[in-house]
Amino acid sequence: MSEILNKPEVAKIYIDARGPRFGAAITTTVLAIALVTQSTWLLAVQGLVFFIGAVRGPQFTPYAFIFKTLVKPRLKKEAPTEDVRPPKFAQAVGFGFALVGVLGAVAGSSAVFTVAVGMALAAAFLNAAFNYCLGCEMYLLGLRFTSK
Amino acid sequence: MVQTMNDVKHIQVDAESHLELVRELDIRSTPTTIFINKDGIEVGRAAGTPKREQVLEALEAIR
Repeated sequence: MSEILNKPEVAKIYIDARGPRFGAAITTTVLAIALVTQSTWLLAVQGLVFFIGAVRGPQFTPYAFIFKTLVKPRLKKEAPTEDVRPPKFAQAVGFGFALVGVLGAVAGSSAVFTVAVGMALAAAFLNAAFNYCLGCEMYLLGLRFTSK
Repeated sequence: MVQTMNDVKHIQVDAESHLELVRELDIRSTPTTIFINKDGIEVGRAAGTPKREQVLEALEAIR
């Protein structure tokens, strides 16, 4: 359908759009448990997943591995593709919240932990439930304002 | 899908390498699909991946 996908340098930055949403569903669950149990360790683990997603890309996280091996083979429809850069940025935003939450907890502030986890949880839930990726929406808007 | 329609041309533009255009057309998220009629005038747009029926409907309205 699209000429741009035939170019190898462009095609390699396109990923299966269902992957990040599946990842967001796991993220939502993990963050919800972290919030309820006030577990700094669990948030740190999620932060590590965000870190991998932000640095290497959301298609390289452990959640993406689960998607590729267990979920994707069961999906029958043709894979919708999306540009990897917005979800990659969203992972970086998630990492930021996780980092703030962990640092807050280490510093002894459960309020900072709760707010940071709560915001990351809200964003992950929006993505999982409604396929609305807040970080992705911020990405292009951010670029519009920050670069010439 | 528009490949089967010989009177429709589909062009994909990488938003990040055309930020000036992005600002000019007020593109807020990717992907955004803009429908342009034969006079080069925008007649509709869809933010996010449009459904097959939506594309068909929009194209039908232009013809």
